[in-house]
Amino acid sequence: MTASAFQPPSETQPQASFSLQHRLQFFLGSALVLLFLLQWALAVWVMDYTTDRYIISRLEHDIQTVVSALSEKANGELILDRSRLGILVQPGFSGHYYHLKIDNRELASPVLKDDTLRLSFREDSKAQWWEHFEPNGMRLMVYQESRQYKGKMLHVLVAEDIQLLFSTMGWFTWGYAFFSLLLLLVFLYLQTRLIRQLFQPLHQLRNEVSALMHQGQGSSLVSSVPFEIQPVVSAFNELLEVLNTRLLRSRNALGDLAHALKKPLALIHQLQKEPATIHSQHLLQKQLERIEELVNYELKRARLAGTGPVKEAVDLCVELPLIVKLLEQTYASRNIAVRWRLPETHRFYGDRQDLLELCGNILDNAFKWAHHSIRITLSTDDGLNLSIEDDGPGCSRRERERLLQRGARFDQQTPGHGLGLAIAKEIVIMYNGELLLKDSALGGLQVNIRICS
Amino acid sequence: MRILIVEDDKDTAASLLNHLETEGYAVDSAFSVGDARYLMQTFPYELAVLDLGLPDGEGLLLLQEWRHQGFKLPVLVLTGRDAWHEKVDGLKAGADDYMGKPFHMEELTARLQALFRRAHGESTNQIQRGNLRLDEGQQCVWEGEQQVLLTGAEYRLLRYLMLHPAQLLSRQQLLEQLYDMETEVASNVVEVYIRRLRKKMHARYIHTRRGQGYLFSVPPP
Repeated sequence: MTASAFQPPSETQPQASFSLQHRLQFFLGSALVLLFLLQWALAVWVMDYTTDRYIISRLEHDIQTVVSALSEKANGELILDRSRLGILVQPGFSGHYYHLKIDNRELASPVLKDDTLRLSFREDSKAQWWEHFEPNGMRLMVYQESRQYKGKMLHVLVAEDIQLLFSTMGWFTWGYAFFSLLLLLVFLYLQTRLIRQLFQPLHQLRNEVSALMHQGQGSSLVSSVPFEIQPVVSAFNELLEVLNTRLLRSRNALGDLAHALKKPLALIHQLQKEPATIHSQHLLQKQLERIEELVNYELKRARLAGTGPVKEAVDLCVELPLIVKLLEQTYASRNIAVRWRLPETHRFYGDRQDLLELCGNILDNAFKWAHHSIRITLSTDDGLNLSIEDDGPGCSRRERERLLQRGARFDQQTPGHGLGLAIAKEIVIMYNGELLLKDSALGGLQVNIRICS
Repeated sequence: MRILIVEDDKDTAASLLNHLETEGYAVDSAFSVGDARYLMQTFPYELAVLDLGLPDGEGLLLLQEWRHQGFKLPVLVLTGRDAWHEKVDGLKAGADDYMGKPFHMEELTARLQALFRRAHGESTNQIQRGNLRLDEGQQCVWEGEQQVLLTGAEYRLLRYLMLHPAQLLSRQQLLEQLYDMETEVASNVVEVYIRRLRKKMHARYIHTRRGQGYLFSVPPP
């Protein structure tokens, strides 16, 4: 289990399929460009439309001026009072022109009369407007209207020179485009800088991980990261710590084993040199048993997982009866009665192997020492709150204290009682739990375990 | 009583086989999942001892397969894997008992006997039918206060009959439970032993059904 954690990274590591930063830059940049183009087009269109409307309303006003300058003589003939037409009747290119048709009579601005401007009525509708281009480049907006006036048919046409206006507007449009472009570039630059700045902690983190993994610098990730990736960094650190703890533990276990094996091995060597007697045979047997116990203990200890970020739900109400069934078969000749107090269901989050090892060892101990009965109580509280009692000989206060001494190694502890409780103690310590030994009401030892979830 | 041992370590298998044969069981051994599968399909075993790490597969998977196929015989898992979660998983896979290696032969025998008794609905540590009480330690039988000494084959036959009371057992069935594959037997061996057993006991427990087989039943007092 521990060994698998030290394998070199395999070939099946996930490959990065895209860069978050580049994608973000691309999409945000495109959106910005699109936005600027749209607002520019909209502004130009609105300006064009408003100007057209404005000129048309002025031309309508001109038509009104022409019509109101008409008056009827006694014989019913319509005459035009030119003095009221103002700029429309000035000679030359004044910029404003009119053309009036009453029945067959035609009246017009001077430049229209001598055909300098080739403007004429369009026949196809009642009232309309259009733009007119002269060959010399002059640009006019034309408006014509036909209406009944005092029993006669009137056709009026007015025109206005719009060249200057539109050339000014052209300048404005391009100027506006230029400034928009400039602003766009500034925004793009700022955006890119901002994104790069936001991604800076990620780059830093990557360098830190790489330094940690390949150069062995530092023992955990320390750089400050944004809120969103804090959980990932924490999980990484936690895994790293679990890895280090397990490495340390398996090294310690090996060291302890090597140390503890020296004494019995030396004794065996010694005994082997001496002539065999019943006494030496007995000693040899004892040393071999000791070695077997030590190996068992250290192997079990090395197998423990301890608290890690990956946890599974263990239902002790399912697992405990199976452990007890097995122990009842193992100690069948003793006819030990087991009394239960279990909740309906019980969930504890931890490593299942550790938890079963913990319960199994304590129960095995109880079966080993009990005379007639064992009592198991699992409380429904959060976490694990388990009490296992037997009616055996129990433990003296001094023995109990020695068993629970923190850091006391198995080889210094009471043999027999020791192994199971020593393993249980290791597990409880790993889970920051509490293991209490008491005198049971049944007469023997009571083991209380409490591990918070 | 016929037992199947599935164990890939030949030394362990041989010592198990020897010991169980002296305890009066007919024993076959398989060294791989393939062998075990074949033997289980072929012979009517009353119990199996199963190792977990076999050269061509996992013992636990084989056990699950047997349970799935409807083999209900008691199975004792005998393995070096002795962590508690492995034991519990063994029971969950359908094992009836689980023992770690290294083990003591005496303990194994006691647990096998317990499994046999439990499989035949005995809750006590003894097999008792009427006035007749089987002594598994000394391989003999007590009729009331009187001890009846038995030979190995007689003991095996009587134990099987006592564990299957009021059941019609054919000669072939009894033969298969008494002898393993290796042993050559004469065709009338069952009749011979039944006759001897009847002579040794006062009351008549074993009845013959001509052309069908034998039946063990307790005579009314």
